[in-house]
Amino acid sequence: MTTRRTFLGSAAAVPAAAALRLPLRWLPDGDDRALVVVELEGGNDGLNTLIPLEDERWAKARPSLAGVRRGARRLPGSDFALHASLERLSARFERGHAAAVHGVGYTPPDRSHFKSRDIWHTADPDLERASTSSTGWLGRAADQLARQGAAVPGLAVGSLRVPLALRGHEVVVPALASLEDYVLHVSATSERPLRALAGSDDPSVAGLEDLNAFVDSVAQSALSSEQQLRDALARYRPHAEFDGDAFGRAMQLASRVLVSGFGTRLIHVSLGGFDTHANQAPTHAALLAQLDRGLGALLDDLEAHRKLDSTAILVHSEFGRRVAENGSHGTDHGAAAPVFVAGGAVRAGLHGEVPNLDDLDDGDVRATTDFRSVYADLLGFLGVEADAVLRPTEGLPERIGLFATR
Amino acid sequence: MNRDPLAPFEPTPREPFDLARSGHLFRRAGFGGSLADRERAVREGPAKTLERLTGRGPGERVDEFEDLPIVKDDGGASLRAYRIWRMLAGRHRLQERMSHLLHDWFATSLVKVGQLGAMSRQLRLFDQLGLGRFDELLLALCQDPAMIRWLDNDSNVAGRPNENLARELFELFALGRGQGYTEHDIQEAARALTGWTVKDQRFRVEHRRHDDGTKQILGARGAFDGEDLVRITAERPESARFVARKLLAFFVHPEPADDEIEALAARYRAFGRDLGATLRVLLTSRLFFSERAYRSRIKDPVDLVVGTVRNLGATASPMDLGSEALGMGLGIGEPPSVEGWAQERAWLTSATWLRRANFAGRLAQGAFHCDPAPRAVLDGGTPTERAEHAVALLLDSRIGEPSRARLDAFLRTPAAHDDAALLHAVMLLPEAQLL
Repeated sequence: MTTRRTFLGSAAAVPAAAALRLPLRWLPDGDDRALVVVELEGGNDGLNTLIPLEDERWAKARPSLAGVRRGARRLPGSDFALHASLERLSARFERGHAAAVHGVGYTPPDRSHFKSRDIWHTADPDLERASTSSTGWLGRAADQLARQGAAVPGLAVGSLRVPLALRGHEVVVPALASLEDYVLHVSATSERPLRALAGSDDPSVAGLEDLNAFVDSVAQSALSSEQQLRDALARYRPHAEFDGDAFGRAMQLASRVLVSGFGTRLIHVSLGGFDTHANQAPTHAALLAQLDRGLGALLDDLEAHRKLDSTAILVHSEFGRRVAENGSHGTDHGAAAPVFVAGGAVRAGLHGEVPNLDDLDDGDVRATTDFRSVYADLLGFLGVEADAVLRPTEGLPERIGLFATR
Repeated sequence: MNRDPLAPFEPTPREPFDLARSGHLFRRAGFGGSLADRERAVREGPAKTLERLTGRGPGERVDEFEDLPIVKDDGGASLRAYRIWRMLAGRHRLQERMSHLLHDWFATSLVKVGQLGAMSRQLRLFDQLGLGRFDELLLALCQDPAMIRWLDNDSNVAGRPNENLARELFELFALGRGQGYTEHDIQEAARALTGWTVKDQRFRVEHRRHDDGTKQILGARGAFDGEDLVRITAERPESARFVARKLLAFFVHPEPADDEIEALAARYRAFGRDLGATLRVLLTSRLFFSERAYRSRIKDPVDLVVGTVRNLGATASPMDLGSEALGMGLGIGEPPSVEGWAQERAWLTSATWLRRANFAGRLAQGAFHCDPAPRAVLDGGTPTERAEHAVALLLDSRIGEPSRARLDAFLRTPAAHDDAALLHAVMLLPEAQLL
């Protein structure tokens, strides 16, 4: 599949200004190019997110769900529309700050949430099983950035735990649920001895295979990043309004981290609930609206802080959903689906080959673009060596050209 | 020489049943226990201790607790508190442990189920059936209203099958991902489960909506319904191995070896899929008391909050402990997905480590209505003597050289005269995060 041709979907859908546009400031003081990965958990229905308006096969397969055509936001010059809930994302397409790639996935598809998520997280479609020792693509990128001197290259934001994607070989990437929790509370008299005891860096301790050493490495990472992070974040002033719910707060925290100059370059945020097996329409509309508000606010805030050009945002899910709706006005687990990429440097519009709904894999959309091609473009944007991160066995996946080459 | 990893553990002078092995047994099979109980265990030996931990005397009810009394919607706080209260106070220690494992194994979330009562009844099912036959447990779960809602079986009807429950039955509950079944088996299994739904908050079979046609499931052929499906599934050799792996990963070591799995699967089959009988063999085995098992797991948040309080010989507010565990990433009643919680190293990140460190500090100060207050537990003596006592209470009187050196350095500071700081220090040693 990596040899399959990928191409710009529709020339007209790529505003010339965006395609030709050169980023204003890519390397200011330090390299601040950053990636925010927003993961839609549960398998987002790609076919009702980026809607093939003119495709009767789509409408026929979804008698009750095809109602989403009403109010859908057509992307200029294309046969596709965004779901009505994606108002702000649609505006970003028009301003040349957003792109979608058709039919992203891997072959053969795995319809288990967990297996498929592990495949996306590890960037390894041949993954036998996720073991506690495996690493993720963002984690391996974090390893590289750490070697270049980044103190906290990656963060899982809005969560108490680090997803597999951010697990590296060398770096323990922290999770940041909220700022208030990220403080060690100890009395003034015992502060120094307790910090010394907990954060002791004992060179005699073996590698991370040893559980005691693992716990120590986490403790050290916590204690060293705690003060540093709070100082950096105190300087931030918001320029956009974020939702007060968990996802809105996570997106704001992501924005704070990026604009504060803390040096974090990889951020992972999750939004759950996309496993819409029954009565999908209202749930899906509400979820996409929540996504849209978070994404919109993040892009606005980054733009106001002059970080839009140095940031890329990837929105993906572990798989799409079956083309035909099920008997419960919902959809079952599917395969390939579009992903979205936003940011000032992205070549806006539609990319990749549109999947053929006459040629399905057991009722599911076949991948026309290897998901690692998307990763490769994003790593290229970050200036991270894709080879070391993606560990290809048969050559690097073909690039899509989501970013103008510098 | 006997190579059976499940051969009974026989204490020897070189491998005594000491405070470390007793502490291990209490942690793994009972959410910890007071120092007095663990010292009595050293005197009485592992078999008698396990009897006490499983301690069901003649005539005693399987489940000693009344149901959750609170019904109003409080975001799950009362459910968390109820479960923590049982873990703190229940006399059947192993039963509480097993329910904790099963909540992760059959992870169902209040977030989707919506009804506190239904969620609580599912967890009580674990209390009642968790040490019985696995196939009976599996059947009860396929008929459990919370599970049916959680995996959409209420919309699984003849002609319009919904695969969700069937898929997870194979993948996550009974066989394991890719273990001897195909996509076609899932589709056929979904047909067998059609019509199994919920009416008036109770399980009900809607015969009109049940597909009574012939199905081909895991090589068997017939007009199967859900009961047949569960029986066929539980009889598969893959299922015995799957159950054995689950038990080993929870009670012994997160990455069990193949020969260990085979050995335990054989016992499980021999005991007619009886989980309690299987566990009794496992928990008195050489494997269980081996160095490979000792402190080989990362404590999950519930292990940490409940186990620490119990090891101090104290009680504390179940409501507070429930929300502490939630803050560390384990909200009882609301696992993140049907896969359950990401276990082991995934529990520990800088953020959750800080949470755990702050929990320890506040507990040492007597927060969470901890009674007796932890600082009153250390009974006098020099800082060194009190530190030894704290290490006995919390860390089996066994810590590694690096931790010993750090503790010694701490004892040389004025902070060592503050009992709360001393307890906090012991809880900040890496061993305190290990189960």
